[in-house]
Amino acid sequence: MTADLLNVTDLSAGYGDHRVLQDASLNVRSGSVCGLIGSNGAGKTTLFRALMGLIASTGQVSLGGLALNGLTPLARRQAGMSYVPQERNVFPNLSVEENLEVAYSTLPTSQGTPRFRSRCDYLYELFPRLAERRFQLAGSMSGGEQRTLAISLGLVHEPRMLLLDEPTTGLAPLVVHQLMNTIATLNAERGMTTIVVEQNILSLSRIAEDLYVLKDGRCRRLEGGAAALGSQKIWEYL
Amino acid sequence: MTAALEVRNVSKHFGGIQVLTGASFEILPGTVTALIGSNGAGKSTLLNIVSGLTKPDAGEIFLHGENISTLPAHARARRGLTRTFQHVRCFKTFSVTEAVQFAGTPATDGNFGRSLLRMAGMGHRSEGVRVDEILATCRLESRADAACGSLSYGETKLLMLAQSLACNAAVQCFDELCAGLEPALIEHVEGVMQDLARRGMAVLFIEHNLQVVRNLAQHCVFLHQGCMYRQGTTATVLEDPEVVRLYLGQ
Repeated sequence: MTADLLNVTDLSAGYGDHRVLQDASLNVRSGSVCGLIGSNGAGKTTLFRALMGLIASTGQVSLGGLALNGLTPLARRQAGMSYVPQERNVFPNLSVEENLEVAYSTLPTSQGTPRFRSRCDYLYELFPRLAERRFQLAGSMSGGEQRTLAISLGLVHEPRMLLLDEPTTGLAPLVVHQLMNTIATLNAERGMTTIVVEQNILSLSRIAEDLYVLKDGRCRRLEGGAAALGSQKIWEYL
Repeated sequence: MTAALEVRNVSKHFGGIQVLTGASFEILPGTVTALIGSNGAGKSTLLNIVSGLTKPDAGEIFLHGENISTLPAHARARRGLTRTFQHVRCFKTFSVTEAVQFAGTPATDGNFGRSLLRMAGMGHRSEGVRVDEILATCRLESRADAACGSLSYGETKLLMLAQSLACNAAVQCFDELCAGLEPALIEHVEGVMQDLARRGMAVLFIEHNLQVVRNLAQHCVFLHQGCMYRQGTTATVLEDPEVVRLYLGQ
């Protein structure tokens, strides 16, 4: 049995008086792809923001045995966690490569041009469209291309734990297919652990081994994993 | 029958990139048309040109036979052409009710401040804007008093739909409205859009969810690298081998 990379215990978080997560717990196996589903407004994004330290939370979060409580988002990133939000978080007035450079330089430990170049080359190989657009301003690219860039910004440090919030939003079917293959490749070849929030159930079922449902502020592990996604019971539960 | 919306020979380039080349199509009242294509095909640019946010290099836009090509976006909205945006945007400090009410009471010159004054002067007696009814239609009634900035991504998408309904425009355009919505809400949104068509409005929407395209659209326009690659009935376009190869994948 593979050890867990991420352990979350009794995580609570919200906005003002509005409690969104209520003692949520989940465990993600090292090197696995874990799907997280739930209704709009169930708290999936809030969970990611709390894991990344972007909002205040109570409870325990550990990554590879390291307690993340109290750590800043930057420190969590340094520990190997990376978050790609649902929105296209790119710098519109910078080129594709400048965006990657800014993201890369956020960590003091990741200095050095040769290593940056090799990361760029790797990302361009993963997303050839970005290679074609490397000198183009991000703001002038299509929504889908900006989304691909945002995912690349999350991958630039080769994280151990990637949090992907609805990565297929705004992507063409062929690109969705390619992106899911890419996530599967990162998982298989690099051993990257990933949590994917997704409404596109068909795509999710292709890559997720384990599955959690978020409802009423709590996470519930679904027996049968992704195979259970076709089950009508899930949608009745949601 | 005069087309509700006609796009005629529209072309556009950004720097050295030709984004659109001679795009032409028309939409009849009471029909739903899907605009599909790969990322970067020029769909949102075309919608920006239709709604008056981007000036084309060439081509014209007609609304119910009237050439509106030189009108600014707010004037097109006043004449009955509205759109939502792919990237969610809202006034974060407005309540949901205020945001919907605001959308339904634009100033005649598109001035933001005057629109606010008009809304403030009318209180909840807005001209023909039945905010409660619209919020119920968009399943936002429980969030009526919530600040727009506190809405989830999916709820913000519903708010954009509600704002579009408040405008009550004859031509309503939606840019990936269903992206990021849970399946049950997508089904509901489909029903709302079908109802718009039943009421005689023309609907144009950009969408990558092909189930939504099949369920909603009678007509489909496929853009590829800025060119009108295929257009026709939805079934014909989606089954075209070239569309499958270039856009859908096997």
